[in-house]
Amino acid sequence: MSRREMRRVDAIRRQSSEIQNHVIDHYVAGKMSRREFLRKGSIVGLSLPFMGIIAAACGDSGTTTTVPGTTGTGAVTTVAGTAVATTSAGPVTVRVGMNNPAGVLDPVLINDLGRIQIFSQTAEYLTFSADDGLRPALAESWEPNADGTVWTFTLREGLVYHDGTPVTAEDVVATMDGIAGGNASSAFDGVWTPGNARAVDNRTVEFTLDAPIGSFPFIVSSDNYNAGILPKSFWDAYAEGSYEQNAVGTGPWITESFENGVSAVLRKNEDYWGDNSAQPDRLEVTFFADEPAMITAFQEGRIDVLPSFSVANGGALLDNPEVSVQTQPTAEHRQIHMRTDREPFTDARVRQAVALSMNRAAIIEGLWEGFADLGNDAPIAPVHVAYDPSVAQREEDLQQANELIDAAGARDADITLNVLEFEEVPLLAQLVQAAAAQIGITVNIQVDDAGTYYSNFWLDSTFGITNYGHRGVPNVYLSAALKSDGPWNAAAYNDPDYDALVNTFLAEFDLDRQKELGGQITQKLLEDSPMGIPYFKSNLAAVRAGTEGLETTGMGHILLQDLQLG
Amino acid sequence: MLRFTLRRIGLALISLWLLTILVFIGTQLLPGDVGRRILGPFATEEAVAELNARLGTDRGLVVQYADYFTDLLQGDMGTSVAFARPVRDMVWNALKNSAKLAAVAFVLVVPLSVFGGIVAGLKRGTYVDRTITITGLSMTVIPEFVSGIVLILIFAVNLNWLPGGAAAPEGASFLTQLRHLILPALPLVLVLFGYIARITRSSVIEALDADYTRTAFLKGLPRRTVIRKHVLRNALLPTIAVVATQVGYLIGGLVVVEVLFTYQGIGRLIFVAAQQADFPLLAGGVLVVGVAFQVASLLADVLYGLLNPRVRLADAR
Repeated sequence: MSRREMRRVDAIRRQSSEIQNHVIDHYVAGKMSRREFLRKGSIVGLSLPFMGIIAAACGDSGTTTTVPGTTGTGAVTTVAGTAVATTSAGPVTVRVGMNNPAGVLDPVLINDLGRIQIFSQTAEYLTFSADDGLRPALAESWEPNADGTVWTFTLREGLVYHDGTPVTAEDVVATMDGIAGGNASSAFDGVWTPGNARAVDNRTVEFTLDAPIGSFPFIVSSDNYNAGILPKSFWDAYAEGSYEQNAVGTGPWITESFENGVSAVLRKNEDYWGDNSAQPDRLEVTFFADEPAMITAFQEGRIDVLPSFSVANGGALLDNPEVSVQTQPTAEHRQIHMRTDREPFTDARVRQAVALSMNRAAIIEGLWEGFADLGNDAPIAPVHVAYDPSVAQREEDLQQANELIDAAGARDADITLNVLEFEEVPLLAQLVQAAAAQIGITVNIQVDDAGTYYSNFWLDSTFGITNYGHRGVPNVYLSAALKSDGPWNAAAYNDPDYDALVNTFLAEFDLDRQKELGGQITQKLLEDSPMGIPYFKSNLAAVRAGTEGLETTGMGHILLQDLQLG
Repeated sequence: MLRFTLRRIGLALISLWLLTILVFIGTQLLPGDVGRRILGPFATEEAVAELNARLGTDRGLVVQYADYFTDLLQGDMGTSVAFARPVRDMVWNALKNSAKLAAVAFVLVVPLSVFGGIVAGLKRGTYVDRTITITGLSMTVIPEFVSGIVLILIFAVNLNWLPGGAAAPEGASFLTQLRHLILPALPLVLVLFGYIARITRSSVIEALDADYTRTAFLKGLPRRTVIRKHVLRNALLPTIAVVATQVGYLIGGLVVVEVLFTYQGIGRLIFVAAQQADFPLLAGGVLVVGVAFQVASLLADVLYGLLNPRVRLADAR
């Protein structure tokens, strides 16, 4: 590093907080890769330009990183293949299929893929959670206080809504208060209480948390899909469903027409804050209530973008040379809970044996044709920052499993496995049944529709399988589903050491420490085995070969502003 | 005839009223409460309780039903809890779409199957008869979701002759709309062809064997005249009644077809409403289907009466 470069890095360091400097130190000392630095730095609020300067100073020119949709303000990262020719004649229209909204398009009530997909075209979040970490969106920077109980977000300059009114910090406060009573209540539970956000000035918002939370920027990111920032005037006049007539966000697309369950037409937002010079002019959305219908519409050419499909229904697309399939790893998983307070699972050895009886690689191949990540019986996925790859992966080991079963005297146990009718879950139940048979345990499967399962069996069954959707950070999985006082603790897992470990993890914002604690939590859960987690599924999306620039997230957002039809 | 019609209308109204009660009880049996359904399994208890209170779904069942029924009598079908829109508007739009699809299917299937049935009946026992009967029967047992997917794969995906989505773009011409509706109508044609053709065939055979036909032949009328004046006239009566009752199915029973072909008809509306435990919407949809069935069967009865001199005259006496 030359003296001049050192001075530049020092200048950045002086502007940065203690936590941010910690990340910089680690990178400068060579303890993390460039990619990891960009990912971790973004979480603690280091801006991409700054990180680019530091990376360059460290002689780490790296490959050019494509960061679609992020700030254009002097970013050091160059967008690969820039200056996309916009010479093509006539307006460009992209036709995209989306899932049928499960109800009225209302920011408070969104809890399904279809509404996430359409809502995020018009509304945007403070931060955006993507594979490469947390990106600035409406907030250009954010910073915690020393103990992580107060987080301050600074909005970009010059942001305007679709109707031209400026975005203010008051709007952010009104939005967070507005959504807190609805579906977002579970994301905010124990983290932040409505009323505890304050507009410091026009561009600065301060959140005072209920407890120190190291990953708070994720909780107001796109992962909390309800939290699209809308004007205070919208919230003052809020009525259920008013967004359908008044979709006034800041997003790259402006609604021209919207008919719930049928179709929508959107046009390019010419005043978008990001560089969207290559954005198509029009977006035509068709809503599908049924996956095969959406897949055939794509095959037929009625839609250009198939944002999500399953291997079970769309297997033919995988081998089609005219189709380009994108995979998106997620943290979505199934928890196979074993009630630690009911026979035969009161003995940890029985639970371990059941977990050891599963051949995960074969399960992934059979159910997902390989499109999933291996699970290690802890709800921390490879997509999470806290994932520690050094923890040994649990493999099928029938000999050990049989020994454990005999030692526990549980051979010939007969258990009912309660599962819900959802995607592949009933099939997974059959694989669990077959695996358990190898260690002398008889499993009887009872399948119920989701409503019955959640009302009657989820929290009251000896053995069950529950689906958990994607989250950018594992906080909710670790606390609500596993802590002794967790509201979704289906395994009735009760271990003070685990509770203390998770509490330390939640408050920690040092990312290396988070990973270390993540590893310890995984290790602890492997020993106690309150649940089996065989895989984290990947999402699949398809476009026609030659089409580029589609980005999706683990949560199911679709970014279409950089899409170039082939 | 008038008394008969009035009595039929009275009975229809009673069955519709019973239907509202059945639908109401049915939706109460759905697991999970309404607020929980809307907010999802992971929302907090407080949020769910608050929503239930706002929707009024935490009140007694009888109170909820009485409220619903009173509003209904005033033409107010309530507001969809999932979509926050008046049920009447949603159901009305869906009904219009369903009627279009039903009309296309009807126009295709009725002449085809009646003609097939007549031919089979007249050529009873021959190769032609067996071909029509067996083909019709085989097609009837193919579920719509199978024939629908096969048709989409052949005609929309591979050959690209017809669109596989039933919904035409907004403001599309009549012909474009028709083009979009042909493929979705075909599975219905397949299902109904065998049924209607079989009824027609057996009526034709019955009429051929009847005494009046033998008399007509014996008094020396040409075969063509006998068939036209005696056989068909009598044979088509039951066919008309059967066809009319199918109108109810064509309007309200197309859940699978409408979902598969992405068509916002009454069937798909009911499907979505049931998924969301959206009682007002579900009840509104089912009620409209009930009305469609009732009207269709009323129409069938009245038509039958008007065409059949025995019924007509018996009433006049």
